[in-house]
Amino acid sequence: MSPSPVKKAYIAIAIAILVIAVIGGYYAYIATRPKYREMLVIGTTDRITTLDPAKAYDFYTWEVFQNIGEGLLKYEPGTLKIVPGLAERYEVSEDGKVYTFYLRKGLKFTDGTPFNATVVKWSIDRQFHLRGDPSWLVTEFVDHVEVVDEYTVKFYLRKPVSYFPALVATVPYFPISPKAWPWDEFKDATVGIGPYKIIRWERDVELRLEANPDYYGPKPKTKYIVVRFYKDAPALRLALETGEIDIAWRTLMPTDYVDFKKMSEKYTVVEAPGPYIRYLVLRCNQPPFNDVRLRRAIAAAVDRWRICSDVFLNTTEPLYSMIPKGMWSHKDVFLDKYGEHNITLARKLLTEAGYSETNKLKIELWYTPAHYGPTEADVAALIKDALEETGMIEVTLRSAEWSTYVDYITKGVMPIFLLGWYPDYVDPDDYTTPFLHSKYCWALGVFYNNSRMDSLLEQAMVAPTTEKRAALYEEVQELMADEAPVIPLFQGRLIVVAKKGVEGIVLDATMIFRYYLLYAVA
Amino acid sequence: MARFELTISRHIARFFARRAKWGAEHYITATGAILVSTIIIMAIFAPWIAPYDPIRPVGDPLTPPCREYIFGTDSIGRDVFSRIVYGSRIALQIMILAAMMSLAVGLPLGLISGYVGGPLDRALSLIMDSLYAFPGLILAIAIAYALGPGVINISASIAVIYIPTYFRMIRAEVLSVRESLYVEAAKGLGADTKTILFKYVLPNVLPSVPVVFSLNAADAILTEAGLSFLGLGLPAPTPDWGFDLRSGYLYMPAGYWWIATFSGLMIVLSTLGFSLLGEGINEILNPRLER
Amino acid sequence: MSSLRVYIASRLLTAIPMVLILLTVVFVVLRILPGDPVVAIVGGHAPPEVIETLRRRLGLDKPLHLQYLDYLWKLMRGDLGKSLIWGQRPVIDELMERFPATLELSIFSFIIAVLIGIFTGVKSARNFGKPIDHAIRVYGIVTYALFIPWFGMMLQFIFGVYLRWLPISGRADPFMEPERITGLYVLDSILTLDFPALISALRHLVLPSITLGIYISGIFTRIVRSHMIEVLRMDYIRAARARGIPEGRVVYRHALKNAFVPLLTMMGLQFALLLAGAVLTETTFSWPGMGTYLLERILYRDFPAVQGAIVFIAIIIILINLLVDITYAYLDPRIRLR
Repeated sequence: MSPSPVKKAYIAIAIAILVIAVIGGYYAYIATRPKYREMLVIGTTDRITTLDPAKAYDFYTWEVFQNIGEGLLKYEPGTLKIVPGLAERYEVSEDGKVYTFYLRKGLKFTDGTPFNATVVKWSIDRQFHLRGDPSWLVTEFVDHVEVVDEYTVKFYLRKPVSYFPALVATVPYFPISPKAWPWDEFKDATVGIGPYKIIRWERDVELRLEANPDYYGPKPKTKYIVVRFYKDAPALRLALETGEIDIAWRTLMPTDYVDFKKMSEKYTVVEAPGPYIRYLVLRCNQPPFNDVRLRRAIAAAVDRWRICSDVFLNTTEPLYSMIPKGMWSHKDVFLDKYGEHNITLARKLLTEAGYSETNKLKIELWYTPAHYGPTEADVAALIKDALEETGMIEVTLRSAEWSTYVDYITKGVMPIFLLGWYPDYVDPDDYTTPFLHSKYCWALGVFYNNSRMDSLLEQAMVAPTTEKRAALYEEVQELMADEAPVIPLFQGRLIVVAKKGVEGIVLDATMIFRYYLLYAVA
Repeated sequence: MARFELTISRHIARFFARRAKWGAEHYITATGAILVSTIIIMAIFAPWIAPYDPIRPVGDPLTPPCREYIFGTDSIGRDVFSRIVYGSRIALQIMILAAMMSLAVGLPLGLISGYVGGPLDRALSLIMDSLYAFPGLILAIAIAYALGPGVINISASIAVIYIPTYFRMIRAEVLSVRESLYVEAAKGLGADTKTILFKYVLPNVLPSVPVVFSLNAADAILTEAGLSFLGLGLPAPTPDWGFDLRSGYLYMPAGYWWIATFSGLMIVLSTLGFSLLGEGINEILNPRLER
Repeated sequence: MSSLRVYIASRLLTAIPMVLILLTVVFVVLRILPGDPVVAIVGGHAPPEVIETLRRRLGLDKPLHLQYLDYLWKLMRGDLGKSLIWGQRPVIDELMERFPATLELSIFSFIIAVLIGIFTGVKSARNFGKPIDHAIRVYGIVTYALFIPWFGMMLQFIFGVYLRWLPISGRADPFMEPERITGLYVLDSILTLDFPALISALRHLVLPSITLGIYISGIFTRIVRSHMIEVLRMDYIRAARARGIPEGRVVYRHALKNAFVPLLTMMGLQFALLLAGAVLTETTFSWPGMGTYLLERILYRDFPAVQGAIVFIAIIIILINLLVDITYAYLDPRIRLR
């Protein structure tokens, strides 16, 4: 006997409900199962120095701040375009000396302190008060800050620099919580307002970040980021190979990068030309390098190609101007003027200056063995070799660890030394004024003084259009090559090695590694 | 003529006969002596043994050991073998300098302290005991850091570690000799302290010195290598085993094993040589009554 | 028992000046430092007021003898000063954070060294004069020459890189550290019944403690060997054998007990060597202990931290030596009467 129509109906409904339940359950399951991995681990050989924006002036600590904090303005990832950050918009006065920022409303720091104009002013004033290493980025450009109302703040500048927005995006300008940092002294504190917040920090061991639920912007796809600090490149490399970390960032040995590139089924290697430069500084106010001919001789004799290929296995490239390749107004001025590894020219200049094979120029070339990586001694050795090829120079290598090195720089102890530069703000001014302007270059041990150079730089700082500025910077570079107070050597590349499947690695000219863009599909 | 030949062959026979009676301590000493002399020869004849200049790059970087470069080349193309050979000069220099400095301070102090006795002795012994108890490497690190790099400074840091050892050893010997009859006799004859010290005490103390010297040497090499390894040693491009070990290590994960392996091996072998030599001589001079 | 008390008192009396001497040595050595520590910390272009404030805070503006007294006074109260860099934490806190790591490494290395020492020493003594004896004696000398960074690196590369059996750095895998009770990972993971953490901690301990342990073991081998040789000849041992006690028990129970006391003394003396070796081991294996702390702070010119660390080490050494001496005197009354 076939079931009655009523029963059939019940059965049909029951089956329908079952099917819907199963399908619904399945979709619910898919929806709640995380799309992305909850945690990514980054390994690095860098260190955090001081978690205080008034003191920190090193690459890695700034990177941490870029991820746990934010400035009134920021860069759009992957570009050099400056977009609103904690400020919704801004206005510039006619004369370019007053910037009015309109802040986002209703935001608070991770310690509960509300974000407003008073906090912005307090943070800037603290830079003036404590005068830490990075404070000049504020004090040189800003005259004072005025609170207009709760969410409006005015910056009065000392001179109408065209690249002020780029400065505002730097860490010293970041608003910080007055509850977390004291007015009178430097201190480590972990409070922020950015996409991630610090939930744990064990110095030199580990940094744990969690997505900040109060962040006003888009939520990071990865809830937890852990940064593990490794002692050296082999430890970092092994950690990546054993899967202990997902991403290796700064810094493996050149030989390691070559190996990882070969293992393309397992690892992704992301490379981008980096705006960090390495160069020789010559002390221009004392013998022997107060003699411009000798400076030119060194500029002619250096062999950049050899350093890039032998020491760095071509993970760096030769650089012929202090303004790096990729930045507007860059010109290969040193190549144009001296050629590469031009021993003949070097010998000629040395002879003119009164040196010969029997009367050699004796110099001490200084370097710092750890700060720029373990390859530094090799770089110094190759420079020595190149200079001695002239047959008229005798080089003694000397080294000092970083804190002593810094001390010696400002005291003018070292006649010729190796140095590096990561840009504070991305503009040709940051690659020229600090080394070439007489008012500032003493801080880098250059002690160069040329009024024409000073005036060119000052004009370029405030020139209204990029074309006018570019023309001025070209003149600056020509003069720099002619006078050679600093000699650019090579330009680094940013390289990230990650396990296959890790995405969102964006490397651009700002060199900011944005953790909040990283993700890996679960 | 025949008598001369006979003497020679007799000497040779005796040499081998004695060898047959050698105990373990003789083999130990011999091995040590061979290692040590190899290193000394390496150091003295470095310019003739090393095929290349250790400071200049001479080949392609990171070439494996081959006929042209027996131990391969390092990260910028310097010949590893030449660096190893010249490294022995640095190692020996520092070792000898450190040992001399230790001896120069520890010996007289030990002599005086042991002989004079009294509160001076107690005070000095206390100071020396304190220093002796402290980990040598850490003391060396602190001093090397305070003084800065340089051959003399490094040697001084290492020397400080061993002063208490010489002091104690010399003092112990002095104490035992002080009461002996011939010293009493000399005193009775009116000899002054200085004469007694130099003519009677010192000659009895000296035989123990070579043993301590040898062990001190072994220790000095390890400490110097340790300091270089930690980055507190001599500046580049001085060929130094500890330094090359450290920099070679960074290239090992990529498969370039020769830089670190050979420099490390040299440190081990030279320390071993001096240790064996010291231990061996000690056994020969002061045989333990074990039978 | 009163002779023991007298002995303890007399040892304490010598210990105190020893500590003082070491403290003074540290003070003197660190003030020969070239360069101005204050300028090194604040940077070249700090305004003079900031430099002066820091100098005053560090007490570096007072004359040397006042600084010295101040230093001693603070030490007496357990104040090792404040670290100069990053946040000025009290040095003592930072040391206590790092100390358990070094302690754990030392304990395990020590256990390995003693085990190897006993096993080889006994084997050597029992086979006196035979080839195995000579081999072990050579072992005793060779171990000291095994330059720790090199030996450690070789082990790292064989077991860590090629075989991938063991980790080469750190104390535990990320997120696998046990809850911190004592700071000794093995102990903490047992106490919290956290077995993954236990495994992780043990795996990380293997290579460093083998490196350091083997390095130290040579001396133990020699001590055990020479004492066992003496003891095995003694009458009571012959008697025990005659009574039919199995050889194993004779050796390990009866004979070894007597070798134990000198072994203990050696322990104290070797502790300094252990700490020195620990510095190199910690550096090679990125072990976050006091050794790496000391080196880091030296490079950062954190002068109070360096001073504090060395003082801490000095005090520990003296304490250990004191403890060993007292224990020795307790076990062997002859010592006290000297």
